[in-house]
Amino acid sequence: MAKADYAILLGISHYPDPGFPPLQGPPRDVQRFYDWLIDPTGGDVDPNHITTIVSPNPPPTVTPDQAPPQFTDFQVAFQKLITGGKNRIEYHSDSRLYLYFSGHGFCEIRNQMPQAAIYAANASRLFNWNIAGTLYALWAKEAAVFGEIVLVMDCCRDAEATRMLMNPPLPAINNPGAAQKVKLFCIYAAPKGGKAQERPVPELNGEVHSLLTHVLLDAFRHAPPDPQGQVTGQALKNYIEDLWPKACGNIPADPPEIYIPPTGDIVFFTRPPVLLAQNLVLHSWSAGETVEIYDGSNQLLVTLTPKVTDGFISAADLVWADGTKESLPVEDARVCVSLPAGLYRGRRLREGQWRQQFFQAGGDDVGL
Amino acid sequence: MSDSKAAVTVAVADLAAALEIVDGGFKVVAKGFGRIETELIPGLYKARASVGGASQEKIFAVEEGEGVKEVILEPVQFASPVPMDGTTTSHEYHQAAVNEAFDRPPLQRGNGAGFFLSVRDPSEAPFNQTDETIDRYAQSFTGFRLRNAAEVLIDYDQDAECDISHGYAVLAAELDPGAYVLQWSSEQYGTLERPVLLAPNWITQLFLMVEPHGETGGPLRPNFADASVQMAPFEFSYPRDKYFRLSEIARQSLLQGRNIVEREVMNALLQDKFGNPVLGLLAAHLLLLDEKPRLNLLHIVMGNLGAMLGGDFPDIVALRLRLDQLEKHLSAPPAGLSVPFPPLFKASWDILAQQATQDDAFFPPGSLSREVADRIVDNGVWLAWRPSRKIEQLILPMTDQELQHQKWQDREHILAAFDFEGDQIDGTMLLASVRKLAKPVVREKLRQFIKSIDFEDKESIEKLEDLVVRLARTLPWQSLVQKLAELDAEESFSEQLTEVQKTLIPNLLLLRQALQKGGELDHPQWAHILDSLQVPRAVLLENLRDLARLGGALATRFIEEQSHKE
Repeated sequence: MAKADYAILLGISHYPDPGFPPLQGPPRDVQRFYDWLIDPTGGDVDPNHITTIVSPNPPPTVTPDQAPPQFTDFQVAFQKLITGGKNRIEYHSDSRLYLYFSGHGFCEIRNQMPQAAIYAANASRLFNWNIAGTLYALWAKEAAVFGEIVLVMDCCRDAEATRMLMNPPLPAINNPGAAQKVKLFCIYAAPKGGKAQERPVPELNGEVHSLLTHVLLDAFRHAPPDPQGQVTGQALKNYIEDLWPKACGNIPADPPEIYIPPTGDIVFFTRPPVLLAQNLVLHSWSAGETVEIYDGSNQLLVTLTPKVTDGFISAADLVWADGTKESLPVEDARVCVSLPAGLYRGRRLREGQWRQQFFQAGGDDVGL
Repeated sequence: MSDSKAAVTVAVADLAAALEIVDGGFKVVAKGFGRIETELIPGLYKARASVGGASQEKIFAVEEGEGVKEVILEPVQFASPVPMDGTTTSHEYHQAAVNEAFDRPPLQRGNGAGFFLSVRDPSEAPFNQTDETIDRYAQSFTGFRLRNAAEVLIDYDQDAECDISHGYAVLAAELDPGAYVLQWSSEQYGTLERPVLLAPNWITQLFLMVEPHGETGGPLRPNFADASVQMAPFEFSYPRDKYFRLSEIARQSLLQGRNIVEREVMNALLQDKFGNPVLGLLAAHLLLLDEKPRLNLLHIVMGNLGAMLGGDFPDIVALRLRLDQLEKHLSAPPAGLSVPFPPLFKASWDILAQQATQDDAFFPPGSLSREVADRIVDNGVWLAWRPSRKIEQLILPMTDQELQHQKWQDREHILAAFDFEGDQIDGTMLLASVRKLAKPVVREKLRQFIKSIDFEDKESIEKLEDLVVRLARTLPWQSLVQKLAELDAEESFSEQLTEVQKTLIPNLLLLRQALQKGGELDHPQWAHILDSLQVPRAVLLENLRDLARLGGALATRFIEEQSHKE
């Protein structure tokens, strides 16, 4: 199915109006999302099915009201996608549509429906030009053009009293039977009234990126699958919500809002759990001192015992719950164990006493 | 492993903190506020507490056979405009400044009601200023005025206790009870106003933080949207920590439009309203967000709030109106009821404005409510507006006299091509025709258009939609938008337009494009747009008429410029 999927990615970083400070993240995040989409182990989407629209760099010398990308740039791309350039709508009921938006944005304060729009580059304090990602996604759902829709609104959701989402000028297609089966999965970078964040990301050499897209891509790669190996929207939601405080570090940020399709969850892909590196620090580890790691269900996952060579601990012998054995080097009292994302309990038998630590895989070093 | 469950309590020393428990696969298994009591099977879990975007978390285990488990989280520290302990933005020197302001005799501008304003910068910026930057930085704390209908009563620049080296300015004053406007003006950002409603024997307190905005190196800007508004009896003055933390979670909940406040927090809000009526107003609005609001409880709240603040307090009028609507469907407010002064909360304004769309006299002509109805701006849960700019207008709408047509040639031909009632006019051809005989034709068409607005016919949405279609067809909006943008860049023209007009213009442009392609007015969409504007019908008509005049004047200017170029 993925090869038949489609995507439009929009990133606006440059707004001539001084009311919208320049952003660094959007073009980079569009590129990262694109890279993930075309990755065979990621979205696995045909590159020819992806349209990217980003702020030109350097910005063109045009008047502010002509600054691209504008409302019509997205509208034209969307029209082309749903019609294939013909004069009728083409239906892709077995395909997924990704709509990704990154830039300054807002939502309507009075509207109780989850919604957001990003400001077009020619938006100003005078005119509220915007591209209402939510309304395009809802139109695609109502028209049942795609079987699944994934909407990512990586923008602020300032709750605006007087600014309105601009309705897509698209024909009203009433297809309630088919529309009911369409699954719409939505991610908003912030709750209503909240702010999205872009920040230097240490893992990316301090380059500025959007916090949401960074965490979302992490979740695509690492969210734990269910026992059938399926990574669902719910699994992504759980993972993102859990990862968020850590991703924010010392500077809090409004958490994203994620909506699972009420008609049934989306299965993004099927894959085995991805392992995360976790350092265990075992000072003064000596023969006879066993280390055990339990998973979130309190099931014993692996047992470590020291391997002594020439009087030194050179390695840890691991016996996994399924009987698999392996040996890992111990350096500077650290042994690096690969674990699926999740909560764990490590405990060490030392001098006849169990000492234990709780930890989350992929986090800071755990001293036992 | 047995599936015997343990009784688990997770608590954080903050009733207002959102709490969640997730299992080893990160699935949320329980959620609440302040304290969760649940049953969990043995396993590993994580408890998360969050307030205002900040959070605390702790992994814990439920052991086999463990009957009872208690997990306590540290209090969550978050950002706040109130310099309180337990927040990430408090400083002792700001706390001291606020306390000293309360201890000093207030500035006397009347008797019986208190007003307190704190403006502060919690960042390190005050300590990093140089001789070159200090003057611009000092502007961050200026521009505030408190006025009534007649005069400015408090000039913050003159009257506040200001210490730039520590980044604050505070003021405590006593005034007569009544309705006031707090105005903030800045060369860079224009003017913003918000209501200040002073009730007898209460001190109304407004806490603001200033934050960077736009270009670096400029003055900071007060964050009105995230302001903390508190009320305290004269004898207590400074808000207690509990009130503030409760109001913060309630404010965020109201901003998100969801009553995510649990019953225990709601009860606390309602009990503590006697020490701070703002909590009661917040609680009442949150209760109204419930699918089935608890009307009996709302009655009690409204009764208590009315006793504290007076039944004519605009927010209370709004809440009572909504309560009546819920109890008696389609009920009209008491005859003659009107709201001349705007409320504190945007949610209150929405209720009142909805009523005003049905009854023009609800916001009486000449009242502040009527004056600001089309100038409301985005400001979080609080109401604010941009006042009408009392300056010479940059583009003068044409007067009726000017709109009287002059002599022109080929009148019938042009009018036929430029027919308001025609459905399939091509915009380009139209513009080409107009260029030849633009001025008188446009004026004549506008005269007809304006004349066609029947101010007596206030009830019909169809009438308004018809006017919208005429306006979309008549004026070259694509060109006008460019022209308006140029004017705004050169002369801050945007302040001449109301918020309603700013919203209407891009939609008129899109409608014009759709009409030119043979499309039709999307009635549900436009009904939604007009309804969302939430202004009295008379105000909407005024806006449309002014837009026609203004657009006509601009179109004429634009067309003449184009003619000169040719």
